Amino acid sequence: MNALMQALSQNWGDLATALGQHLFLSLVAVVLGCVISVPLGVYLTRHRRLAGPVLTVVSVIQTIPSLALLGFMIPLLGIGTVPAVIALTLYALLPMVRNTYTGIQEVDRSLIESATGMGMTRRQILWMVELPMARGIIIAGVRTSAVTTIGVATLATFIGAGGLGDIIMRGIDMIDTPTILVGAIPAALLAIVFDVLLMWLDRWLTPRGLRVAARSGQRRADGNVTVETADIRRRGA
Amino acid sequence: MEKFAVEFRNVSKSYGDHPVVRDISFAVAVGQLVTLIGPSGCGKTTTLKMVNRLIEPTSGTLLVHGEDVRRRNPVELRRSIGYVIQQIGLFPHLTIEENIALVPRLNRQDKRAYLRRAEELLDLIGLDPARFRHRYPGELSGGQQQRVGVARALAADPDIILMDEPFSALDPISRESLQDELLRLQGTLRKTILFVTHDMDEAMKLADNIILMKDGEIVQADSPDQILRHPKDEFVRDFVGEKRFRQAAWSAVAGDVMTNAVTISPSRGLAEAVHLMGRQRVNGLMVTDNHQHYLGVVGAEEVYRNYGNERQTVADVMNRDLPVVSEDTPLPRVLAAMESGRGYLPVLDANRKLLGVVTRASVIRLVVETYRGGAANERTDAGVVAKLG
Repeated sequence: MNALMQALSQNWGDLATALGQHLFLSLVAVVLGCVISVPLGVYLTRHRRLAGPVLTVVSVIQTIPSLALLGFMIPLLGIGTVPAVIALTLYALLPMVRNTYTGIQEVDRSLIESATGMGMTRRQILWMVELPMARGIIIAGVRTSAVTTIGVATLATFIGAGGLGDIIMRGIDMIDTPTILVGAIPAALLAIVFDVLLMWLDRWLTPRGLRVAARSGQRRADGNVTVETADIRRRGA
Repeated sequence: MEKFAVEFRNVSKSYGDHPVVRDISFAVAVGQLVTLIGPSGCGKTTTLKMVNRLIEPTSGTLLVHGEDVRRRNPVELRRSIGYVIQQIGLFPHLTIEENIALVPRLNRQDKRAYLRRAEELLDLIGLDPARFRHRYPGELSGGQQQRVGVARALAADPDIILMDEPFSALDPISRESLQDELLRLQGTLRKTILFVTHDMDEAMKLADNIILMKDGEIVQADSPDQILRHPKDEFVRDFVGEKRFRQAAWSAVAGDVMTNAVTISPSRGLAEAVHLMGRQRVNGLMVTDNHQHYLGVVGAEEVYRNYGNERQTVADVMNRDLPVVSEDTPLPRVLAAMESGRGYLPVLDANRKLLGVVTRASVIRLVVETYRGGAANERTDAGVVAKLG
């Protein structure tokens, strides 16, 4: 413990910079990933024939070892922040594209039918029905992406993009466990904090009607009878 | 104003080589409720969905208020036509009020106006606005949800409403009550309604006209009464069901439902009449002469009004103006005559001889027997007129 505190005070100045870089890399990658993935997922639900091939490509990217993916960036874009962000973004795509696609696919067909039959345009159906209904699954994808990205961002150090990976690498080079931990623990905490923040965001965004529906499934099953008989009694009287 | 709200002219629809609707033509007059009925796969739902262009016909012309639907913008067309589906399709993330007000909101109506409209409609469908407007669909029973579904279809005050098996997923009690509700609403609103169902009882109950379909073709399009009277072929007979032909009210005549009358001679006193009514547990006696010729009726009413006068006889107080029917009077006319009379009707032969009496109880007995599958033509002979109390 003492050794850890010592390592912490020794790396204090670097830690702040590294944490800042790490946050920046991860945030930019996840936000960019979102901006690409959600519209792409929506597009695929409109052109379902493309869904298979596109999802395959995105999955293949995911299977490339993260270190290798960062390595590929060097001949293309050199080293530094830009290639790191691009690699991380590519890596973040899959969960978000896949969840957006399946989330919208799984919206009850009868809702889409009644929405269309009532005269809603495609755009209105997307914004007023499909996205609100698929919201939970889409945010689950964002959470997965965020946690993975924060982890993978520790490797950005290898192409000179900084981040907490710098401190971890220094610890490894010096064979000094406390220094490794000074880099690794904040990285882990960062992932947890992001996950929790996104979970809160999800709860906050869940429309009350959907929470009610989930909770009252059981209650409605037996509450049903009383409500109906009460109605009948009222009409009978 | 044009006569027909919806008109199909030689409309066909096929998917590839597979025809679903074959060259059908029919028209729905403004304010009519028409049911499309037939076995599954007969093309009834496809036919319905062509009206609001959820499905486009392969050939033929479809007119809504005299205008070819292909010339209309589908979104605008749909907003001017109400739509109710079997799965109800309320949006679970919106409140009841927001669900109902959706189309007016899409039409950019004033917010205060459409919220007031939602309140009106909740009232109309029998859900207390104060209790339900801010609830969510997930908190309502199936029957209540579909009431909201109907309200939502009415929100923009469309002339035409399409209903695709709207009540078939509900439990029988909710279904009955929603059917009654629809009839009540239709009585005041007079919308043009196209109603798809596979349930003949429902069609008979609701429809002004029934369009019976099979394999994408119209087999018979007629009023429920005409279909019962003149089923076009074996398929129609089968589909409508033998039972329904038997229990069809028009086939019964007064003779089928009459029961033995309790009679009294005109010279009897009123105390005797009261005694007889009490013993036989009836509230009216048929007054006949010695040859069973009908003279009139003495009911509890006449007796009690004149009871104080000890010298009066049945002949003095009896009512001679009650409507009477003959043995072969059809049941609808019997019932109509009963409405204007007393709840019991003397049945006479050509010589005004009393054959029996039709009472409310004897009519109900006929209905019960037909439902049980008993012979409708057997005479009921319970031997009482109208039971007291």
